[in-house]
Amino acid sequence: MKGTKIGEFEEFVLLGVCQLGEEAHSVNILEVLEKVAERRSSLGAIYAALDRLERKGMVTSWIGQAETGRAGRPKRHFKATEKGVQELDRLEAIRTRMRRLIRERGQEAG
Amino acid sequence: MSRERSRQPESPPRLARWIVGKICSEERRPWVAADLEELFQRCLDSQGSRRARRRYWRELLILVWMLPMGRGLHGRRTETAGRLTSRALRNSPEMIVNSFRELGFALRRWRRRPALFVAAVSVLSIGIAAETVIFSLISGVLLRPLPYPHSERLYEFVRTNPRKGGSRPFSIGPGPALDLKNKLESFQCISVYRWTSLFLNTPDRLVQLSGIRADEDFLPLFGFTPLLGRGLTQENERGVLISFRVWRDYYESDPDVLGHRILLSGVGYSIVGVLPPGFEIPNARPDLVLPHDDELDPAERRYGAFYIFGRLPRDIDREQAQAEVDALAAALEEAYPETDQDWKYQLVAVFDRIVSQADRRILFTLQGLAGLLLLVCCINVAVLLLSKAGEDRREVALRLALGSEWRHIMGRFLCESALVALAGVAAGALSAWWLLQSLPYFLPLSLPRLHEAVFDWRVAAACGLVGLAVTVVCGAIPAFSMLRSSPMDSIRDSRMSFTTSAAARYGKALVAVELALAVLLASGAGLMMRTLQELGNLDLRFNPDRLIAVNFSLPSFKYGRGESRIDPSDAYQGLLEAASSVPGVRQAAILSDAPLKSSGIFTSWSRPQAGLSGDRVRLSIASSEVFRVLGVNVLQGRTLRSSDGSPDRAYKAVVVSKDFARQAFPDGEALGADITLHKDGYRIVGIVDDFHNAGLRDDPTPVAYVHYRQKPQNWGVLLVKTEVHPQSLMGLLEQSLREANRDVDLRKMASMEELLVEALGPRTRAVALTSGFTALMALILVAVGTFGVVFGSVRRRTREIGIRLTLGASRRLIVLTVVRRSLALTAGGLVLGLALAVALSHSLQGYLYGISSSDPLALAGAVLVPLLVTLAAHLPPLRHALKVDPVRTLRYEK
Repeated sequence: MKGTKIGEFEEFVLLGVCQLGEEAHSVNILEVLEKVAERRSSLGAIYAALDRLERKGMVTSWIGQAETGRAGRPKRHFKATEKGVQELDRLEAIRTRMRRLIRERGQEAG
Repeated sequence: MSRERSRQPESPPRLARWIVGKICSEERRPWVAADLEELFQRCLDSQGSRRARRRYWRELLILVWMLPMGRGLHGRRTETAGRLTSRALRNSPEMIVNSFRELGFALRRWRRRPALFVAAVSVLSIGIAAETVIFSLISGVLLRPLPYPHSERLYEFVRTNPRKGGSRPFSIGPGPALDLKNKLESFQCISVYRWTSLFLNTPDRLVQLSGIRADEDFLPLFGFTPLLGRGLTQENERGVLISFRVWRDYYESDPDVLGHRILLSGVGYSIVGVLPPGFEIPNARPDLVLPHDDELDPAERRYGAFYIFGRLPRDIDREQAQAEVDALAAALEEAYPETDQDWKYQLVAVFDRIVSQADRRILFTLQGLAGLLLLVCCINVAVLLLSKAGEDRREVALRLALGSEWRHIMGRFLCESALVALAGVAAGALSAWWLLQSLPYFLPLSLPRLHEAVFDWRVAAACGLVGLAVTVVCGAIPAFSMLRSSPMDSIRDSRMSFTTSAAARYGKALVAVELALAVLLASGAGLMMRTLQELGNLDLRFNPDRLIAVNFSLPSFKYGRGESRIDPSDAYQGLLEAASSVPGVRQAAILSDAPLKSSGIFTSWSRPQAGLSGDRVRLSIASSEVFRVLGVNVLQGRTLRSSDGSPDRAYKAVVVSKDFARQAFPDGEALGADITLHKDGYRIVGIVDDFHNAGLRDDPTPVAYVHYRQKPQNWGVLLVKTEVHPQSLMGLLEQSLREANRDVDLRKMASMEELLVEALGPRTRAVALTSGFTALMALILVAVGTFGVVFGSVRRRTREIGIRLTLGASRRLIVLTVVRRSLALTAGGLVLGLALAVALSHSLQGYLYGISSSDPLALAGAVLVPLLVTLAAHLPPLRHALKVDPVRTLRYEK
């Protein structure tokens, strides 16, 4: 495990959790990933990523109430923690800074 | 869906559901099962029952796969996973343990012969890597579908005219283009577009971007939806879609870019959308997509640079659509006999337009070469494995005598070969992967879709299987022959045998085959080398030495005729001065098209007085020094002068090529005569020699040269003659040109030598390189193989040689004893190879220039070089044989 750092796939999953808000559970996350990130994935991979994120303290999870829509069976809900949101912001900031450096370099060369 | 199934509600496969129940831990089972079911339901709604069931199984398999790693279902390694693993270990059959032990033994045996092991592994990996790379290229370029949905239903309308140039494609005028778009009914969607080049104002400079002017059907036709914003609309608005690259590089990926005003070639547009990152149309990636401007004029039927793509619906095939297109073309011919006579429109599948027949041929040629190399490699591995058979004999015999079973002996051999094969396949696959990663950087081959070629593990697996099979079979051959013979004989005989063992016989035959293949590959390389050599001797009738060609263009909205625009001739002048001032440059000149380039502007000519006319003379814009820079002789009269361009001259001056002078003035003196080019009258002031101004395989085209001040234009080629090596000046030259004119767009800068190789056809160099590489590899492998076999036979016959020496045999006789039989086989291999080479060399015909495919010099080289290599490989074993000390050999074994 990479300690407190998260990988690309984990980042996508975490972004998915943030985006879905109350609706965040594995099948929805999978659907968002396949639609937006245009990559084929699987529930197994999502579970694994969510478990890792939970261990790193980036998300919390709880088992919800039994629902009528799912043959009376419960859902495992996820929510991004403060730490997770901060990590996403940090990654985004790094990217923006690097991009800006690329642009400045391009302008100098041009 | 069958009726029976539709009665009951769809549910996931029962077996799969049962497995889910078994593999999940107690706490997770409820929601994992529910998640899978929910996914199944969603899939069922959107994609149907078959896909949904398949998806369910896939998800389940992935869950199971992740199980032993203790991930996915459990978070940490749980009881279930642990139980499963330990059960598997407990119940594992004895065989597995045994075969691991055998592999261990094999590894230890190989450690005693590291050189042989390394040789066999590297030989095998070379073959597998070459084959995998080429096959991955083929599958990436040829077999993978295009990035458009249902690309097999996409067609391009290719306009041809049998009277004007056979199957040469022409662009389409706006009138016919609109007719095709509006009147054809069998198509789902048709889009008309044309290329344009626009300059974007960025804060510090002008950037030239490629754009496409198209209608609203363009993006839906290829199945693209904009990343942001919308596509084009029917209204004639000033909206533009920018590519992902432009968005990223010039707009900092700003999400609020929509509605932004931008200035393109001096005209204001507003950004209405951003194209997705993978946006490309066949063979190109435009930066901008804009609506049509007034060039799409239905009344104009003759001139226009439009292209058309169409998408057919599912139920109409090409023939039906082509029939409708032909009918429409015939109707248009009737309606507009003046302009539409003889024009045909052919539907060509987009895939065929992208990957041409030539590209396909080259890939299959490369594939053939790589296949031969793999064959040679496998043979060599076989030879190497056979070479150690003699030494194994004794051990096998001993084991047999002690009561070992035959399957154990076979297992031992199989394990040894399997180790070689596995290591070879692994090394080969790794190097293939690495090669494919770096391929676009060093392959001198501009194939379409090259960037789509990725490491194909299926190909690597297939090549690996071939390698594995060959290695294992060859490892088993000696074992078979040993099992047949009696153990006692073997023990007594080993190493001292007077007879050649079966293994050695196989080995020699294999080396002969290998030699034949090497001759074949060497003949290919020889032909390509001769072609490159011929190219050096070619009389181009101009001097390509130390010459740089720089293609440049100037933005048309800023340069040209008109009040507010700058005269491009002044820019020309500035560029010429800038180039001449670079230290190391002797002289610079401008010509409108580079030598050896077959495109250019052609125009009609006439001599009203003599009643002669023609329609094919190339009109070239030149500066006065151009003939001196190119080293072309002025035969009569004078060259162009800059004063020719001043408007107060009494006549317009033109210099013509000898060929054109002969064509236009068959009877008399051309110098000083008047001629009309297009619609302008000119006086011929000079005649120059013809030179290779078109493609290498074409005859020189007739040319009329006029001074650039007489006919200003916005593009050209700067020809720079240097005193030093051209490559060393390019950086300096580029800097100097950019400083002289900030607007100039330098498109391509190349030395004439590079252009020559390019003119030979872009593929020739790739074939030359590949054939050279494979031939070199094959020769090295032949040397290794021959060495192995001859050395093995010498070692086996050490005692025999010792006895012969004792009995007074001369050194010559010893040499003869050793080489006689292998030389016979060598000769056989050479003859076989030569026959193969003669039979197959015509497949290279398309890449050759100036020589025939049965070029005697190339074929002689292809025989001689392998022969020399084989002879050289005999030398070390011979030295070993001659150094044999008779006394020691006789004492060698007690």
